[in-house]
Amino acid sequence: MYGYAGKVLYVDLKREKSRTVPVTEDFARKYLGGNGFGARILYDTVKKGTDPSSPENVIIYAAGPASGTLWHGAGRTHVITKSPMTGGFIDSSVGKDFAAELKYAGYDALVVTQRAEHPVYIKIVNDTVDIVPAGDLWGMSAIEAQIHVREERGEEYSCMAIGMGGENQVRYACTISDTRAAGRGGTGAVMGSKNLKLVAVTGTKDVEIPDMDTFMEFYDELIPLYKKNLKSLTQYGTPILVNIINLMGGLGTRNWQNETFENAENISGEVYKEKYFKWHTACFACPVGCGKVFACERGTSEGPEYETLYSLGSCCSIDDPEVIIEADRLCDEYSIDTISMGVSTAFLMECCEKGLISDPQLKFGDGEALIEAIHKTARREDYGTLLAEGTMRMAQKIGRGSEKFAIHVKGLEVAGHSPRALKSMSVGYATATRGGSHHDSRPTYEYGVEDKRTLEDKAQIAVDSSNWTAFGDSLVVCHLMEKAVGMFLCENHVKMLNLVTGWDWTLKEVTKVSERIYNLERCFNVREGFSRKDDILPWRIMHEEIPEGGSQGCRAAPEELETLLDQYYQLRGWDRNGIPTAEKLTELGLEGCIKDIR
Amino acid sequence: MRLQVNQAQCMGCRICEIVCGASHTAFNPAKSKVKIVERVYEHPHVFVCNQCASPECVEACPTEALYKTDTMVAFDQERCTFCLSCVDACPYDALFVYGDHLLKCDLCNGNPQCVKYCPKGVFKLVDGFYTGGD
Repeated sequence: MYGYAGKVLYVDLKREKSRTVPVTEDFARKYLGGNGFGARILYDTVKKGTDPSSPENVIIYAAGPASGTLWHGAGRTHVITKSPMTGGFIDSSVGKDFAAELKYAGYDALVVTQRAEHPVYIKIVNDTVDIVPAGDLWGMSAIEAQIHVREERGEEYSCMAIGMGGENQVRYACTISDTRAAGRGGTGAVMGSKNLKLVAVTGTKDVEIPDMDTFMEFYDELIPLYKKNLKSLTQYGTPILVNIINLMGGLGTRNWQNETFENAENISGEVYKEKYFKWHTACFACPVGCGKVFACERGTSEGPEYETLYSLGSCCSIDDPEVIIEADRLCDEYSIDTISMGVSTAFLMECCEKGLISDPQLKFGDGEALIEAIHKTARREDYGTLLAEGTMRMAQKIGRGSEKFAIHVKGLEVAGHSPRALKSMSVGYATATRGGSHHDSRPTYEYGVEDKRTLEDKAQIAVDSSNWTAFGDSLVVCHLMEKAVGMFLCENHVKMLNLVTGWDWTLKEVTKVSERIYNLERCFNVREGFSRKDDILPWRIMHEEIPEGGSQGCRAAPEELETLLDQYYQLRGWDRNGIPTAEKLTELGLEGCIKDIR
Repeated sequence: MRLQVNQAQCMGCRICEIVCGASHTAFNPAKSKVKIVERVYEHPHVFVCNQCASPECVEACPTEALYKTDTMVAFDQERCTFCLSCVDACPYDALFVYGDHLLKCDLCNGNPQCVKYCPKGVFKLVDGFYTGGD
């Protein structure tokens, strides 16, 4: 079967055994790979009500048919599990070359089940799978552990690793691959709960496609589009967005009390490039190379990316670019999601500002306090125990009205794209199966729309955008390629799939498979008890207007959100409560889910 | 002819490895004759045959499987006994192994795919042998 390794590898940490399950063509055509494979496997293996930190949860590392090929942006891996943050489906994506190596080793996905008695790591070299004691690695940073495993064997393993944040099950601990992060939703905490320090993989097998000449012909056709449309990412990386989004008036500042940061310039992509840039980095097969290594006296880091500049920067009102370099590096070493870390800290800063808590004293703009908060969170020391639970749970504990400014959706902190200024993002965040993620519905299209204040087409944009991301996450290509290839599903995507699989699919079939995957994620959440009541935005976002700047006066008013939800559900074929209808599920071949969600 | 490598431009995308290791129906960088090694927080490094003017691999080869032509250092698979003396001898770690095959850059018959596809222009095809100094 072209484009596929043809096997899923299962590793049982309790019994210390591994086995493979063949990937049938029928399964591949129904769920594509990556996100789709993960959604199906998670749905089938994790029962309703399973505690995400229990051995019964599973963690899946998935590649797609594009992984290991030359497709632009094919260097991403998807990590899928039941989220300790939301209690629902999470699929977090990370760059570099893990998925490619997994395919070269002969697997489309790795599913890790159960819990090891003692810390271990998994080592995969083609058909050889070892579960190795990792007592000596436990306590090491996610970076150090990868270096240690590579040097020990002298092979170029690609790794997924956790640091102390994952070991201590900080709810939003992430998974680190090289220096990149599968940031959202607590995948690192799930690894920690399984006593799994690291996964290392390398392979030497072929990834077969039907015909290299036609593949390369289309590859050559796309190259000029990348050069033209992604120039600023090549030059500056995602930090270029800081000034642009700030000018638009959508840069979450001081826990979203504001959306214009008066000192944004200090932490802009332009300043980082000029003062701290060392070299460009790229994920596997990526000609864009949006990664940037920045260095200053406080240290060296790959990043910060835009999302980190928002969360650890403007959201905490921190304008010292060097503090953010250090904080970014620390989060990578500890394996902590910078978005949730920053937004959680900003929440606690506002609690202090409002006098809701007296200890700790965290002030907006205090960079050293942020650094200390990261250390304490990763180690679960002192007030770090509170911070490690994330915004939603902190608000539940602190109470006294703090839930009104707890900036999360379904328990996951909101990313750096304004749900007040961007209407498609308001309904996009609210309905996202992942919670406050900017990778279900994407903000890219609406940034280019002049009149952002009308509701017209915004639900449709959110539906179409999340169909594209479900497809992109399953073919497994990077979302940042959308400005060159397409922000919604289009013939380019169809061609990319057909050229690696040899199928002759049409746009209609590609759209249907994307819908199937997204509905399956939704069914996973509905089975856990999610419905319309959870498709809601933070109180501040719905009730407080943006007080200044380019998007002054915008908010996602409750009645506006209700309208968008009605439209969104209708477009999706869901009932008024946000539950996929039996008719829709039957149309998508997901009949098996009907009984689970009724 | 040889590849002149601008190490400072490399960003570690491995596109050179992917196109070099590709066949008519498959991708496999393990078969590539150019390798990128990237350590965490270190600049990536490109390893590929320099086509040396005084090639130590040729000197080390007991069967003349590696030999100098007028324009490059060539490799004859038929004569290779896979003793790997050349791999040990190469001061640039630029010879590789896949299974029981030696991998040595052959400049793609004058049309190197790494030159064509590297997005940063790391590789340049230039005349002459390598005498040091790039």
